[in-house]
Amino acid sequence: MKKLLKYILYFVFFTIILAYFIPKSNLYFLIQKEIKQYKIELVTDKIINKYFSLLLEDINIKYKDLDVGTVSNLNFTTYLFKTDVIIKDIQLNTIVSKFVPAKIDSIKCKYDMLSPDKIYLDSVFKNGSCVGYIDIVQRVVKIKVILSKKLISKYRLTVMMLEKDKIEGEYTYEYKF
Amino acid sequence: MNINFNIIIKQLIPFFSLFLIAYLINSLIYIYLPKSSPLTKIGQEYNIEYKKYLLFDNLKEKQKLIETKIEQKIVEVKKEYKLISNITLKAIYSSSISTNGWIIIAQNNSIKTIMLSVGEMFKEYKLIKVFAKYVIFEKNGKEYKLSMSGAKDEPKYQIIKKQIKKIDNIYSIKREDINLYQKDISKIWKDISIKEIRKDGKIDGFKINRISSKSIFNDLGLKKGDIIKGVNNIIIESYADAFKLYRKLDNTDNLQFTILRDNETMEMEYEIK
Repeated sequence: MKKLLKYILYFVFFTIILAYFIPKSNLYFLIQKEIKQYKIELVTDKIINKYFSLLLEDINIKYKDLDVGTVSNLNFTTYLFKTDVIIKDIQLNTIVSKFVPAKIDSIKCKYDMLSPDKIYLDSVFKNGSCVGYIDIVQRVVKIKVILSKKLISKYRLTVMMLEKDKIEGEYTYEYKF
Repeated sequence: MNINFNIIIKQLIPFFSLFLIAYLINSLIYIYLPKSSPLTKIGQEYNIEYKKYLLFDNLKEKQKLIETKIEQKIVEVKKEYKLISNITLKAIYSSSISTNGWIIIAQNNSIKTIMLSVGEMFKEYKLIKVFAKYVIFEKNGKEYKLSMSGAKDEPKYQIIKKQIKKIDNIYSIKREDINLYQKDISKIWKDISIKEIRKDGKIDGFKINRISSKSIFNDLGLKKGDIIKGVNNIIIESYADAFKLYRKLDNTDNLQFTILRDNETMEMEYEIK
């Protein structure tokens, strides 16, 4: 038992050190490079390296050279077996806001080694929320969207693209990539 | 009090080893990761590259430039095409890439017209390039040129219009109406319903599924079933393209819709007053 505890201690120590030394800003550059293939750009000058996380502030989001919106801060935290990305205060461009809510309070992305094939998403915005996942193996994005009546009438075109669920105000978005 | 350093060191060695291993692993990861952002940073987009001024090098460069220009001119003169005399070129639909596009031709003694796209054959002549005012065919390894009759001074857009069924009326739209729709986009979806058409996974136009008879869209001549392919000669291939056009509406005085109706491409022109 004592030996087992000793190994657990070694393991915890190793993961902490590994997470501490991981080149976080370089990982962010890799993400930038990967998403650039899909013509998405996250532009910021404020990259802050913390002990176990990477904080990005005042991000400008671009899609196909078009300014889509801004993010006040993005926090990328990794504990090796669990990675969280928390995006706060997303303000979308007026053009995009004709189709989706202009202000998104937060988006949380979670990746857990216990279910390595999925990235879980959770988002909250005024009068609505959405919960879903990205299946990396099946290459599917599935999101359940909960909208208030006000939002349904305001974003009719976007709602038309969603599949209606049995419960009033709930919709499903599915996309294969 | 006796401190046994040997025991402490013995206990610390595994931790120190693990620390080193973790550090080495991360160093290896670091080697393979990008060292800088692949994007142009804000504020650096318009920075002018600094170059040390070297008088003699610059003179050499200028000389080189002049030489290349002369060489290019010579190449252009050398290019000669044989002309095709028994075929008339009726219309050209060309894009910025010469290997894209299609044409309408007719034989001199026939009224019947034939549509050809790049790569297709007409009586041993293979269409290889489409330009704004002429096209190039290939036959037995030789290139043949076919020009538009009387198209020398015509601008590109007029050539395009020739092969498209054109509606004589140029509709006019009030800017106030456009502003009204820009302020409240939900008004658009009350009057019209559109859905994207996809071809090989890419957007190939927007189909009008519903149109209100009392709406401005109906007055503009749009009909249910029409597929909007482009606006102002810009092909809409994504929602981003549509957004870009939507954003430019404020500064636009003329709108030209390219639509597909009953398998026929049509152009509709609107003047914003």
